Amino acid sequence: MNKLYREDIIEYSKNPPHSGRLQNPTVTQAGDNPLCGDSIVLDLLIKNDTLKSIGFEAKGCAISKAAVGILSEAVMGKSIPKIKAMKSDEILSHFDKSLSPSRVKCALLGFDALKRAVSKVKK
Amino acid sequence: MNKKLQNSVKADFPILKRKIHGKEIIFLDSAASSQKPKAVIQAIVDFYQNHYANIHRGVYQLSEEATEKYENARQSVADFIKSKNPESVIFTAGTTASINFIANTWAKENIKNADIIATTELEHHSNLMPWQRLARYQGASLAFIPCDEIGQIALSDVKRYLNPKVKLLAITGMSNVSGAIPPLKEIIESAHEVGAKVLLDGAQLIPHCPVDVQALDIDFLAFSAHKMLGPTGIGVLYIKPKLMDNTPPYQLGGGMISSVALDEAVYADPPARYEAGTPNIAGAIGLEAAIDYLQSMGMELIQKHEKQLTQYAIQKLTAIKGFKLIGPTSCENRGGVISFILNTVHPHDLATILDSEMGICIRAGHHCAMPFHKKIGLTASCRASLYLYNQKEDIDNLVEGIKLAQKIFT
Repeated sequence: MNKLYREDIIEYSKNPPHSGRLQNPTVTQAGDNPLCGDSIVLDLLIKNDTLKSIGFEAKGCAISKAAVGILSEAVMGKSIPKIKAMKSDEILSHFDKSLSPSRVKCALLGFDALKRAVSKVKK
Repeated sequence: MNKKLQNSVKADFPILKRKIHGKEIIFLDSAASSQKPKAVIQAIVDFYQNHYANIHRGVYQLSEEATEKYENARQSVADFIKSKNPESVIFTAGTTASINFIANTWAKENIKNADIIATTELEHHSNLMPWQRLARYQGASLAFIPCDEIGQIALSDVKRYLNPKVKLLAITGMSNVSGAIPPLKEIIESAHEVGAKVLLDGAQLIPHCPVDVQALDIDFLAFSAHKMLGPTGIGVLYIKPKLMDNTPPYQLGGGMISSVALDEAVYADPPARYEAGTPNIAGAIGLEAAIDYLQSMGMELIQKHEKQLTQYAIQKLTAIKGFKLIGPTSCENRGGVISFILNTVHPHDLATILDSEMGICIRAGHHCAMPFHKKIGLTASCRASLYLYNQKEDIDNLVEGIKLAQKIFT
């Protein structure tokens, strides 16, 4: 079995939780990886400084899709300050150490878009 | 398969003995950059250890030796592309630098408002973006000759876009995505009939096919050493000698003058006129060693070897379920650049799995050709590209690796 492409990662990549755009998002943020042309559009619904709902449309590799699924589950219901304080390791720790620097960018495609999205949210 | 290329070649490349993830390297990314034979590495080491000094400057022996070696390298390049004039060979940093050179010199002088620069939908970004900017600066317009879904350019399409307003046709000699080689002789003839000059992006063509710049009547040719077994940071710009009067120098400075006063300067004759500053001397010597190595094998033989291997690869790969080739299946007019997609595995995931499980190096992404990928509805593809050191076993391993990746994703 490949260390990086464990069954749970493959499963997440095929059906990432929270996949699909939101109807009335508070914030929308696009992100892309110029290296490979992969892209994501992320929607956030925020109420009382808390993430009530998250949705996205991702075009990309299994690593980027699995990562955005993992990310979505991790941030649902969290307060915006908590999301702002999140470190990338919280996502990367789900993947095997063999994730190379160029693939780290894939894994953080959704994370970087989320960070940019929450930075737009006013207090 | 030819015996000479079968037995000895891999052993000439020290890096191919290295193991990655416990596997011997199977290098299938030569279209991005090729590996280097011992002879090239040694030539560079020998130059720095025994002959190094600046060129065209000193009257002492070391400088004379370095100058002679540098100018011999120019002669070797001229012979390699069958140019009778060594001064037609300008050393640059590579293909990108060569194309930008022409965009900023000849093209800036000779392309004016309402003129047209014709290029194709298939080009590498480096044979597109310099023309985008030049057109903007000069008030000229761009015309994009279409390619088909498998990345081929037809002569009839080129002809449709040629007219007397077209001053330059900038076109690839071999696509770095589809591997297709356009009908260059006919295309260049047609361009000349309407008075257009032709810049050939030879980055992929020159390392793999014998090319005669005079027989093809090429006006400008750009290529890089690093894709043809040579070092990085050195490349060639061939300028047809009679166009040199219309081609101003790109950069000004040391080494390119005949005399300088405070308020004016007289430029040196070509090629010095086009090589301001201390050039990449060791790079030129490394390129010459690469050319010597290629010629010791024979370009015709290399081309034949790659053709047979490409044929074998396409036959084996297209038999895989879910495999889609982006490029011609016929090897008549194509090189060993094999791009493809799989229906269940994203290119990046395939590249990672091939690397970690099999030690196979392929490229994944848009290969600096986003417009072509967009045209065929993709953001990324996989690319396996061949050179003289590849063998049938490498293809067999690739096939096995692809099947393994497909299994992981079932």
